[in-house]
Amino acid sequence: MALATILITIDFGGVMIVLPAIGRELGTSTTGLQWTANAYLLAFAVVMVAAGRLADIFGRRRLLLIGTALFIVASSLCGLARADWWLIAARAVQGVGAGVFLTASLSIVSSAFPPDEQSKGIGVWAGVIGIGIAVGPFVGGILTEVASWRWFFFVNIPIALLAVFLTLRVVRESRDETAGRYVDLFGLVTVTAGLTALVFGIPQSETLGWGSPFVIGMLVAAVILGALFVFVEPRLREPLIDLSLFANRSYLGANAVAFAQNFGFGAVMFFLTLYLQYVLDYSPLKAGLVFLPFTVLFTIGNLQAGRLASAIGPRLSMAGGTALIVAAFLLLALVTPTSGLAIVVVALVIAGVGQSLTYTISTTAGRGAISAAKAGAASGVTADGAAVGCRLRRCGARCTVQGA
Amino acid sequence: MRQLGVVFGVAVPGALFKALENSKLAELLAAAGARLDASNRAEILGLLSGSEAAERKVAELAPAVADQVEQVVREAFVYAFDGAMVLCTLVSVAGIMASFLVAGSAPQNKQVG
Repeated sequence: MALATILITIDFGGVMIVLPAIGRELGTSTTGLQWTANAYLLAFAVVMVAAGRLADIFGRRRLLLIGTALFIVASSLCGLARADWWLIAARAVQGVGAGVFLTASLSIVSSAFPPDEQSKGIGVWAGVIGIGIAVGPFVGGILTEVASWRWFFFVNIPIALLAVFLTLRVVRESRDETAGRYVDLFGLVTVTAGLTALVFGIPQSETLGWGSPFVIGMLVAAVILGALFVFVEPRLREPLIDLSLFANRSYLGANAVAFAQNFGFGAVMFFLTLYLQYVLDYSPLKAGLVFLPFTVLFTIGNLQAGRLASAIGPRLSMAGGTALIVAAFLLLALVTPTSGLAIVVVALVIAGVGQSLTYTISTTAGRGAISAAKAGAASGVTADGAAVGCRLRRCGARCTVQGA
Repeated sequence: MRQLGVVFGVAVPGALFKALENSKLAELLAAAGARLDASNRAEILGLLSGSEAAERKVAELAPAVADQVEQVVREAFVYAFDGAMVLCTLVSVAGIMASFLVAGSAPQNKQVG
């Protein structure tokens, strides 16, 4: 599990570092590079919500193998890409595979240990994710520099094949026999299509203009699909997303903070990579090294954030963490073509600390705000970090919960 | 929610970035004495990524202008970068406000297990 999980998390940060090299070789525009990152992330986000349920119904090991197989095929196609549309399509498939894999792996890890030892297993799993995020930009940089950006994708194949081999040998099939066989396909389709239309329409606004039929059509489609989703979901017996969770102010607030924190995370990784390699002419490896203070502090801070929340409460901890992120962005907004590296590194150090606080505490605060009966649904909405937080808490790991 | 934050963190500042980069590039090129239409300007933006098409386009310009183009493109890029960071600042400020929606009474901070 750990082997393949680290591959997926390395991909999150690492791919940003290889984007400029992809742009150079395939002649991809900034918008195309955005889609190279976002096709994966969007597919990953949407699939994660449904994959947990599919794993419970059809078998966790089966889903894990399907996810890994998709990831292998898609990684091969990414590495072989000869055009940006090819790469973007392969990245979407890779995101589906990664989302299925990561969700199934968490289920397997949590069910593989007796209750009193689950915290160890999930602790290792969460630690592996942290390491992957920390070293991702460095790995992306070194592979691009020593070999080619294509090897950032090819290197997945042998490791994922080894993960398949070990899964077949070691992991037993398991499923939730009490789970109903209903999957909310309507919710899955409307939320996927709506988000895709929105994310596809916004970047085209600059090229085609906000008044263009294409942009208006995309935005109208996003609104209609979103409205359909919001109207129909509460009326379903087993909705994809339990929207009633957002009636809880604390849960709503924690998710809004999580969204804002990750908005900044994505922007920093994407735009700063371009700045370092395009404006400062840094090599991919050097650019990857610049991110190390950020990713290392992010990983270490995640482990310590619970203590701060215990001392001053989640509200102030999150506000303080987000204020640090604001300070980092204000510094980055002062960057000029000749301002050099120091201002960037200082901003990354501040951002790393701020991001780590908001990441962990928004997860625990959101989960702490709702009843145990809805814990699973809440995990799916907040996604990856919350899923980890949920399991950690259930296992009695070192994790603080705010009494709602 | 987290993944969507990253998706929109790339897409929305990206749209602003492109708009700012194009407008600043047009302004700086005009100031440098180069009159280029939108498609040629878009081509020239590839200069920083080492695009051959962009380099061919620059070679077509008058030498006095061509000498300045790379610096102009760099400045337009940084101008757009700064704008994207300002947008991220505003979103993060909204994040601070959202954190006050979370119950803030003295936390029970129980270790569950």
